[in-house]
Amino acid sequence: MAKGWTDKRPMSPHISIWKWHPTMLSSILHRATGIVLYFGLLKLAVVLAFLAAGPQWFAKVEPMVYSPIGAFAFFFVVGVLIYHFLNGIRHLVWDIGAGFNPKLANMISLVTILVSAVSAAYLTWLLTGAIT
Amino acid sequence: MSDFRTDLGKVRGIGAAKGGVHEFITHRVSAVVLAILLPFFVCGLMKALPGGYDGLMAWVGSPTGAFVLLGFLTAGIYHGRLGINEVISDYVQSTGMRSVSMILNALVSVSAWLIGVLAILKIWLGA
Repeated sequence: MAKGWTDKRPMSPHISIWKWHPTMLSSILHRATGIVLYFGLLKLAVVLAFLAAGPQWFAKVEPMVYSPIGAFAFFFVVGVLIYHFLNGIRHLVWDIGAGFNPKLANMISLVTILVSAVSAAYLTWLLTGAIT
Repeated sequence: MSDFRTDLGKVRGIGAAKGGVHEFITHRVSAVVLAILLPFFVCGLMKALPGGYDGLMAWVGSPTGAFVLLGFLTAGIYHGRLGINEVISDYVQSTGMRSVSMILNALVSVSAWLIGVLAILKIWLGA
């Protein structure tokens, strides 16, 4: 953080001069998806409470789930969930000290993003097919 | 005046992080729990959602559904709270605002956990 920095000499390296690469993207996405999932869990708790309160209460949140917007929300949250799950497993492998080969790590980053998007689309397709 | 403190004693506890071994380890342990529960959670959700109210009630009311949901919600909110705390300690610079944010995070997390757990227990025990 440059705030409060009094040293006149050039500061290096800083955010603006980093070249974008897949592992950097997957690291940022891991944090972003984690924040999204936290709110997803809050929503899960609230929907469970409405479910427990009875059918007349559940009817109030039902359109939130069973609608085109609900289908898109499902796609988004499930994709984010699968991404965080897959990348989280990689973080656990990294914690052991394995998987740091740059080429392999970059490739896995892209594959993880692709696999989560495709499987989220597949699950959404399955679900919307089962509902209608 | 002579100094009797050792070099290690002087620097211990004044690093940027000061603490956090417990959080580091439990963050990863809850991640393992979530990774195990996630396939069951997603499968259960996929089966229950087409059934609407009745389908969801049957899922939450079944022993395996209630177990998976209780475990997922508990480990998830625990893991999520630690994650949000990490984000807060990365980006909120003043100690006061950081403390306020973390206390708010604790209140929201524990409230959501209680709401969810009570709802699951009500459905499961009432089923």
